Amino acid sequence: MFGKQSDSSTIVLDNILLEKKIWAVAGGKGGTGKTMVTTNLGVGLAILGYKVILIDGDLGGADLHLSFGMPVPKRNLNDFLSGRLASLNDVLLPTHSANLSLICGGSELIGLANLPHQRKEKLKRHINQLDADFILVDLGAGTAYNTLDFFVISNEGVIVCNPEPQAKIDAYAFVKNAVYRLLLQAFGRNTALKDLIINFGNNAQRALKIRDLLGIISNKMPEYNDKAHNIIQTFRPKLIMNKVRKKSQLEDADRFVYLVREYLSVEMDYLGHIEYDERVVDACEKMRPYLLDQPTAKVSLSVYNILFNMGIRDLQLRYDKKTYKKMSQGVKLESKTWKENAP
Amino acid sequence: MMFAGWLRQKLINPIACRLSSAQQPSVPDTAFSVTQTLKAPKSILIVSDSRAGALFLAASQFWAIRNCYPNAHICLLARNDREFIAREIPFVNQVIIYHDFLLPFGTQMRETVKQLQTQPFDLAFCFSSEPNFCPAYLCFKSGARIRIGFQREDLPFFNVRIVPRTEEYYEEQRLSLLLHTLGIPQVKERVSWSVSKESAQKIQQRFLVGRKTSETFVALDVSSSNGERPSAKQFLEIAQATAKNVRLLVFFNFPERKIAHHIREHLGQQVLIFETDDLPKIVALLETCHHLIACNSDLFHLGVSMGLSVKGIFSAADIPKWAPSQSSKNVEIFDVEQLKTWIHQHLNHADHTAKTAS
Repeated sequence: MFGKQSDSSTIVLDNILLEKKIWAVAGGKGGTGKTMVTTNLGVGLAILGYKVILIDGDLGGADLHLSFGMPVPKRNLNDFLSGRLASLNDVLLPTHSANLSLICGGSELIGLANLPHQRKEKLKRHINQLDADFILVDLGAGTAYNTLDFFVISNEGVIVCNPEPQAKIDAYAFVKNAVYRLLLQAFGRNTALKDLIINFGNNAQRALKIRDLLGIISNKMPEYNDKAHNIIQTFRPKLIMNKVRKKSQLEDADRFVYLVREYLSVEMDYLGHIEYDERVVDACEKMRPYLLDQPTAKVSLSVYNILFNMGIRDLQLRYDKKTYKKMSQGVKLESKTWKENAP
Repeated sequence: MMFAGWLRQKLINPIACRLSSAQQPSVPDTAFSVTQTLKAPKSILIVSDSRAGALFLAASQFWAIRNCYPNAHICLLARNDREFIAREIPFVNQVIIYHDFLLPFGTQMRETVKQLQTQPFDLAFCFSSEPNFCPAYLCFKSGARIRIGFQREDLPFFNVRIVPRTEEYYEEQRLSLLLHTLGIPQVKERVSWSVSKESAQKIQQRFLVGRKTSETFVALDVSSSNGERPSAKQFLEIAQATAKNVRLLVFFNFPERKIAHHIREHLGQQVLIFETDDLPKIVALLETCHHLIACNSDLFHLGVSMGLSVKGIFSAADIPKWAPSQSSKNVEIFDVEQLKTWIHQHLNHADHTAKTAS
């Protein structure tokens, strides 16, 4: 513990630990509510006292700015990717709350969705340099490499799924592709191992399990066994079931988590569900996050429940996991402040 | 607050002492040389006072102990709500945290005692003189050969008792008496606190969101304090008067969180509120502030040691014991009404002058 003190009588405190978490929100299928969930998770975190940056990572189909009443954002990712702005910090746009900033996506450049490797790496590097408690990246639908690469940028990706079978199949395919992408990123330089992973993945004859692949790696190339196991173990995506209409649909979430564990050897954390509510559509039309437009609605409380399930605590010590239902009054006040301070 | 102290001293402590007298301390029966133990102890326990500000006031004494015994293993025992301060004190090798208890029972207390008894302490300094029974009792249960503390009729746990002067005097001087009596040399300078420039920048960038370079910051501490303190309404009045022209940083702890929320609800985004749970963060934020307004709290004593411009809100009875001497140029002590007048004259007026000049 010595060494903290400088030569004089002043104790210099140096053990500063400013945590930063990056959550990438994806889902596989389009229309599952990824953007609305990202928006409202971000607003919820800002209300709980965290500094948050929302990034529209839906390259080519950006619309996150619409949730904040910005039809045409002043600057967007294009300005950064094309080199007009040097830093991602310069792209930041203020919102109603000082705690929440926005990086809007751009869609005016043709082929932006197919970002070249170098630009993608630059973007990833700059995302890692941003300063905030939470950085939330809203990703587009599908399993394109760009989407997968942003999803695995942190090990805390969030999958937004709907109860419909189509959405669940797409979400499963997304997690599966993310697992293979992680393995290929780690072992891509080893041609033999890369071929082994690709061949195993392409073998559609039977339902293959990732643990079988790990077994093969362990037998054929034992020196990579630990690393491969470690990659799978540390990958812990989270699941949110959105637009839930019936109680029975909640059981599907548990089944989904079980399937992912069984076939992909990935431990998935189920964070909770958000009910289907017509008022969400109303909030969309008003271009406002439903957390502020409908603070007392069940759908808004579900967002706080999810945040508390993620281990987030209220920095202002007003609410906790047990009292989150009382939040509506506090959020009403916050909502009023946000209206008064509109950008 | 005073009643709780009286109740503890007159009723609970005698019961706790009677209950604890049946339990023998694990002090070895073998003879030992007091002179030799005092001269070169291998292991030292420091039991801190758990009242607000006590760790900052005692930091210089901890430094003196470290200077006197550079090779000894020093362990600091601190209460759980002061952990964020205790962990940052560089003069000790180890910190043990305890949870308060009324009577000498319970799992948490047994755990702490077990932790203390894993190492044989040669020397224990108990800096506490509060009504609370726990620090002195834990000092006794540590099994230290020589246990030095302040003389108190209700707590018979020390084998070396220092008798303080009867009149009220500054707490820091009282603490220094413990070491002075034993001939441990005092340090000449008072311990101060700071953060490195880089860390300060990081913290300010993260927490002072929406900060403008021309902005003036004033800190208001509403967290728990010793003695009399303003009511929630008075705190709000102080905040309202202060936040007219400056940005207000309100510091709070869990028991006083409602006061901070109340201020925030009334004054909106002009106010930033921070929990006092991270010392580097507090120090970095205080460094940006032009003034600190506080009661007799942790932040008051931290601000004094940092040499900040501190405006203390003290009752007349608390001034001799807790307010630093008049020689401290940066510290001014007020009651609530005097403070409001000062805010009106200095903060609002100064800002008004600056605006006119610009």
